[in-house]
Amino acid sequence: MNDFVTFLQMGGHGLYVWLAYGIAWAVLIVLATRPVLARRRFLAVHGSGRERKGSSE
Amino acid sequence: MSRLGAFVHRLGSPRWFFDMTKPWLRALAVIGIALLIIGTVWGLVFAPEDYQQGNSFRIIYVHVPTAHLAEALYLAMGVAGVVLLVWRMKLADMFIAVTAPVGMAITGVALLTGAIWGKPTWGAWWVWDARTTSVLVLFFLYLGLMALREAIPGRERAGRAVAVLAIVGTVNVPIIKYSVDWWLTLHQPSSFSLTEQPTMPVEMWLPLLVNVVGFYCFVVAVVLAGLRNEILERESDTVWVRDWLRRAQSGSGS
Repeated sequence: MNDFVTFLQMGGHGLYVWLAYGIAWAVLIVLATRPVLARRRFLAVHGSGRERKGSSE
Repeated sequence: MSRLGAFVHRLGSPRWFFDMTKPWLRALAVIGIALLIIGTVWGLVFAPEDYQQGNSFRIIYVHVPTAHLAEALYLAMGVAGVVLLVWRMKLADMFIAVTAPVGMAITGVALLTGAIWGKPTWGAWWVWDARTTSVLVLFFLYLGLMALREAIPGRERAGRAVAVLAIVGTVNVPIIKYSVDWWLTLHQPSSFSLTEQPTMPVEMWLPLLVNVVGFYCFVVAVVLAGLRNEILERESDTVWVRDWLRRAQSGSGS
């Protein structure tokens, strides 16, 4: 347990290290989520609306 | 128009690209995430601390990959800009549209992690030296590409204007790269070089290499996923997308 706390403290640089990694991972997660949501949105819009706009070739 | 010409032509076909890239996307995502986990744990836990900077140096494992990518993505957009203007390839325009926000986010991470690293190392969150300033310019170039696309009516005209800005903006990339050599900067010179021995011990730079490759794979996967969605959106009136939709609805889509 003590080892873990020491690890988190990073020799006094904990705030900087964890802030930097937190920002990086948060942005990566957002970047990975956006296309998944966009694909879902596309399927929701065009999947159900297919019959209605089917005539416009 | 040789075989290369035929290949480029096919690569420029949104439908062919869409079908082709599904397995690439999956492979890149899996490899990228695996390498990022390995590199991050390695860098945070197992790499030794720096004898001068202590543990704050571990920020290198997110700062250097994002800073590299910030430049590489912009260069790729510049190349796409040329392809769009010369060959009128629609896919190139889609690539720029999808990559700009991703590149901006990555550049933002590079700037923020640099600032966070700067505080314990230089004693300041921000210094106006050549490296930091030229990367800030890069951030605003990405922002400018997105704003320009919004500002100009007509997809084709907007795409061409954005392509011109993407091409012109690449001038900034060598400025970023050589800023640490041309000017007296607080920023340290490159950690990696293809021609010289690394100045860091192997147990420090190996996790960095793993994370650099991991970030590249991950971000290319993100761009590919965005590009595939953009293709579906722009081609949503075509027969092949409607066929694809029908298959996607019945559960076997990609």
